[in-house]
Amino acid sequence: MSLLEINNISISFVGLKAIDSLSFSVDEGSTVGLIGPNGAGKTTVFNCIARYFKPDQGQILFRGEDLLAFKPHEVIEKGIARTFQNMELFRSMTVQDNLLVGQHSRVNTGFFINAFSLRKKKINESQIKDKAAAVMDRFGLTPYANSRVISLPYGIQKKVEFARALVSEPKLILLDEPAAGMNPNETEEITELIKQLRSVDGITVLLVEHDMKLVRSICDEINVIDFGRKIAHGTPEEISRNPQVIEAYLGRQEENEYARA
Amino acid sequence: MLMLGQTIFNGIVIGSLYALVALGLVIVFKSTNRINFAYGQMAMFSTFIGYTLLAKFHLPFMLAFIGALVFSALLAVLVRNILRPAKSESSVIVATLALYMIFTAVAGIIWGWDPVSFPQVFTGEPFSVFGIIMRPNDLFNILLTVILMLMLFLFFKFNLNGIAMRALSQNLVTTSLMGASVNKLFTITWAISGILGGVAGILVAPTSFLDTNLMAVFLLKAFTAAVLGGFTSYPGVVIGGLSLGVMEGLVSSYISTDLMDTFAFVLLIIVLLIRPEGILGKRIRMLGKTSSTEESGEFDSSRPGMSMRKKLAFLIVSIALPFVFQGNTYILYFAVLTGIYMILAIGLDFLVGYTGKISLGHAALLAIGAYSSVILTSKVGFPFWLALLSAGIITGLVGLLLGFAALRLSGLYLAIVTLGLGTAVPQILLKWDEVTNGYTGLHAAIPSIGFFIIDTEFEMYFLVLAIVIVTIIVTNNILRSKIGRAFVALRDSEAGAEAMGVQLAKYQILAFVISAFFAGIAGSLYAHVVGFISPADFSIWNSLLFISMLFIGGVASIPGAMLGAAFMTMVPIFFAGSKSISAILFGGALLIIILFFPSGLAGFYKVGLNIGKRLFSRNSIGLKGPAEEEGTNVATRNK
Ligand SMILES: Nc1ncnc2c1ncn2[C@@H]1O[C@H](COP(=O)(O)OP(=O)(O)OP(=O)(O)O)[C@@H](O)[C@H]1O
Ligand SMILES: [Mg+2]
Repeated sequence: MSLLEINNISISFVGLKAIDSLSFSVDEGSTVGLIGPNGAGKTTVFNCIARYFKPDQGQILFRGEDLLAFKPHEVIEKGIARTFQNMELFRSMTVQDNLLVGQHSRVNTGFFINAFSLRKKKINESQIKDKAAAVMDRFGLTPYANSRVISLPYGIQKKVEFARALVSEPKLILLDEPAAGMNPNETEEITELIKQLRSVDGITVLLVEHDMKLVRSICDEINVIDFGRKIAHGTPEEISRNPQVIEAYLGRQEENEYARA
Repeated sequence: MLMLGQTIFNGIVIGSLYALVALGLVIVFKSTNRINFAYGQMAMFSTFIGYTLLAKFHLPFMLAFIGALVFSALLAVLVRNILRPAKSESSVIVATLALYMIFTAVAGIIWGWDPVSFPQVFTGEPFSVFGIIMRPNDLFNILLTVILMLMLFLFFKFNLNGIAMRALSQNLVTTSLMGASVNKLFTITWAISGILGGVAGILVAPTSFLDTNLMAVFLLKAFTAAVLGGFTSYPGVVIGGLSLGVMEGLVSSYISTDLMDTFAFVLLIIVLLIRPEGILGKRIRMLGKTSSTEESGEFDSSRPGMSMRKKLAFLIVSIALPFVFQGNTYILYFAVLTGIYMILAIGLDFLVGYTGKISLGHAALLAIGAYSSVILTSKVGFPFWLALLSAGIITGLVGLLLGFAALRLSGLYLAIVTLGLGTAVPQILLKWDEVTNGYTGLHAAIPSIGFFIIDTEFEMYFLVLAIVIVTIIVTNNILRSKIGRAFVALRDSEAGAEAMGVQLAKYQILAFVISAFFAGIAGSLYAHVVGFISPADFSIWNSLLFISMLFIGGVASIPGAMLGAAFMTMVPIFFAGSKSISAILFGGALLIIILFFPSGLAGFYKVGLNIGKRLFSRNSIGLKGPAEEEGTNVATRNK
């Protein structure tokens, strides 16, 4: 059964059609790749799912529910967590506090309970701190728990954002280029962590990534988009042999080379 | 009919001056993206220079006029260079507020605080056209304004610099690629802006008197005109200025003269809420949310709230103090005031520090708390404690409204609106004298709880101390909870916070409510401790002092807010009698801190502590965990 279903969505920005009648679905428990050349519209798809943008047309269903009826801050309550391509961390806060904010939707204490630090708050706080500690441990972030995010190296920050998405215990996680800018070692670690999402937590993953080796090694199926349109769908083998995909990537490369010359 | 014609004519005369000042603000904003809250005071200063040239050096009017304009242009360029280190929008706003204070104080020292009269350019007899009475000076105002505007338009249309400057305001990157010397262009823009302000000052001065407050209300009107016109369109701004002048005239001749100044503020709010892009301005289309502000890195929110050690230290000092100074009511009285300002500052910090929203009108909230409490005790018969609580709640409700309004306003507009609130509330208090007793003010009842009457400084001290302690505890709890983390998360990254389920609107409004609640409590205490309140206690000047005390102490830090409050009450004691010296000290400290030491006095303390640590424990190497490696590896590699 498909967990997430994207039906024929389109969105345009001042004349530019960023997504054009795009449909695909993500099965529960699977790891699905969403790839395409720069500017293809991958991040825009994420932003539509996370409700930052409202598609001009089409439908997004999550577990059969219409996602477009919800506000951005309600998406995580539904069970969808995301990371951002350009990282949207809380940079002045510690790593631990970032992971506590990650569990914001899991805590339902009212204002006065918090203002007067009643027992319920204390119980809640220790629960979410335990959860954060567990995730930090798994991501190797424990030594940085009390460091401010802004003081950490880029690779660690990337991991913090990943951990922050995971700590909310989502059903579906959207990863936007989790390995961008990472060295081979770090990429290896990230690959392992993404694999664990399925094997340990049973979380469904929708992955945007330019590193094809990574994508091929973990995705069950891949959707390829270009200029906002879906140009191919299939298993990693099928995709790597698809002439249209090769054309889209190579064509773009030639263009780039032309532009550079 | 005739009266209508006259009203419209007078409206255009004054409106053309609004337009001039608004244009001066907008050209700087359009090209350098900075808004200058000191602009009015700079114009005032130049006008005084003109006055000196006229009165002391007996220069002919035209020479004095030109002299003042040259000074004005130079001053603007100087200000531009002073502001250079300020990076973020809020630090520019606060730095110009510091300059506001400095210019005011320096002008006060040089020319005194009493108004002087300034001659008109033309002193000819009034004449009548179709029954409308016009003075030559009025016509000169309009003419000069029109000429200046035309010159500006031509400058922007045909001059090469003008072309580059237009390009600049549209896209900074392309212009620098075009090879235009951006720096020179900025300087020219500021100089033109300075000249426009200087002209306005000299034309405004004869309509009232010349004093340090000459342009204070005028600046707000100019902001209204600019907002009305859309902030980005020059013709729009001119139309905005003229129509504001005419509308004010209509209000004052057909409804009530008293409402004139408040009208501009009400109009400002309405326009910002309904059509933030003004009459002619283009709708700025925002797709998605703006992402993390570049300034969030300046903050350290790693240990929110106050540490146990600091709490203990505060407790010991604050309990010991009244016994040490038991006989000295003077010191105790100022300690009580310090406590009250601490409550206000901690509340203000919820907005400015933790949520990253500016408020330039906090004295207005203090006033609402103070007046509510006095009226409730003396006219309704509430006991003190109930009035105290009610003052907090009433002010909190005002904060709720403000919070709703703020949802639609970005940093700059919020600064303008709160500045408007800070200007309007004292005016309303002044005019609404059946309830507030106008100028004369109100006497506040002596506080009592049950049969216990709190009438000595010693007792008041403990009353205020108890409330300060509760404030600290509650604030600490909030900051170390889901709520406080949500505030900081929103400040650091709206997009990130929303993706984590933080409801932007809810928390933003909550921050306003909490902040206003504490301001209300502080207001009530202020009224009953001082025993007497009048609108002068809550002027816009006080609002500026509050914001500067927070920045001087250190934003986003409870000890910072407390230090700032102490600084604010202490400085005037040491410089008793000299309003100007303490204002310069305030403004100067604020300017230096905002430009160079963003973490304030609380930050100095930390630096001092680190140096101390290093001095006393030279051989403690190797104990460093990653937690202490801050600032060593600030990588922002992007793909
Ligand atoms: N907020 C926006 N306003 C206007 N145009 C936008 C906006 N967001 C994206 N676009 C445009 O939509 C297109 C798709 O952008 P998107 O960021 O989704 O690409 P992408 O596939 O994620 O690319 P990359 O691999 O570089 O991250 C681009 O042409 C981009 O310029
Ligand atoms: Mg992208």
